[in-house]
Amino acid sequence: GKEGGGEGRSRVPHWSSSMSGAARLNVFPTRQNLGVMKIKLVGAKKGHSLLKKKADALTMRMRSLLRQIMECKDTMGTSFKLGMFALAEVKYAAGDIKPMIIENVTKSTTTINLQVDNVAGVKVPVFTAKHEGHDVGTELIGMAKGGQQIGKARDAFSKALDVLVKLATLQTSFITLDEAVKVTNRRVNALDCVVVPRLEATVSYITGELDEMEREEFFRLKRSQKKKQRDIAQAIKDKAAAKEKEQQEAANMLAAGGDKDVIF
Amino acid sequence: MPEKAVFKGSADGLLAVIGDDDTVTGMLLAGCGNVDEKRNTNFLVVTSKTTTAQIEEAFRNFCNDPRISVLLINQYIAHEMRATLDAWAERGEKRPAILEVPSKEHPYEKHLDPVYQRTKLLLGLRDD
Repeated sequence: GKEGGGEGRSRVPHWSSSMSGAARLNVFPTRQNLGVMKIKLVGAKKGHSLLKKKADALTMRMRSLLRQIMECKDTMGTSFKLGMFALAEVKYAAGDIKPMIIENVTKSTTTINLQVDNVAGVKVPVFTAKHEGHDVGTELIGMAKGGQQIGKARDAFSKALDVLVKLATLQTSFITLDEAVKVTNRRVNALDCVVVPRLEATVSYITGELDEMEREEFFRLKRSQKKKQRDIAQAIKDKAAAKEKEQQEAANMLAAGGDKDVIF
Repeated sequence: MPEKAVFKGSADGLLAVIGDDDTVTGMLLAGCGNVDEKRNTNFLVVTSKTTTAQIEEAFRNFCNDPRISVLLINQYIAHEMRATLDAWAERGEKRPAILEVPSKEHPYEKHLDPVYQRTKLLLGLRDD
């Protein structure tokens, strides 16, 4: 016969049990269960189409991100180069100010603000940079010489910073969406290849069983009707036979010889 | 399936830097440098004398620090700790956002940037 893996796989070809897990759910084939399974099937199909839409929306959003990321990375490369040039000019003008700057760091004047944006149900970050006031520590460094160059370098790196913050947003959004797309696609595939076929198989199993039970009922009904008819026919025959026998006995009684005398 | 690192808004993030002295100076000029009460800084100047262990420790500290939203690493340094960075990416952590930036000696090389490569792959572009 067609041996599957165990219970609930009796009607499935052996080559599909490894791919799609249980071929059908193990339930009693009743009309109520049929209703329940049908509702679940509708739900699963609806869920599948909704998730597919979500996956498509996420993929679309991600594609638009990709180009932006590539461009932004190029821009970053350029802006850093400019910053480095500016630093080199500072070196010519004011000497090596690096140790001074590093020594004089106090509190950051730039804060990164993180807001959360929602894309098709996925939470995605948006970074913005806020510049607050002047860094008291490094402000006075250029007073002696090279102040202009230092200012230029500062500007160059500020611009680079803005590019970097934008890039941080793009990159993190990309990673988040990438993951979300993978998860959603996994769910879509799971519904498509496992849940829906399983439910459909269960529905057809229950329908098949119900049909067969109906046919059994029908057969039993027919059989018992036939039996009743046979019984009735038999009863009629018996009655007729009995009547005939009675008549026969009556006739025999009359035809028999004399009775014995009754002597008191 | 549990959601990893759902974003919550925050308003006072810092930008950390692991880089050579030029990169760090530049970022400090732009106003990113921060030294807190415990004398912890949000940057690490990597010189020829800096060991990989120190770099890795700084990286770990910056990742664990909840105030740090963005972490800049010079590309050539990121290259030396590629394994650590890959492991971090595998875990799916999203904070801080790790950006690989060029340095004075090593200009930006696209084909070494993992995010750039993945981006290109997904766009279906071939190497020209």
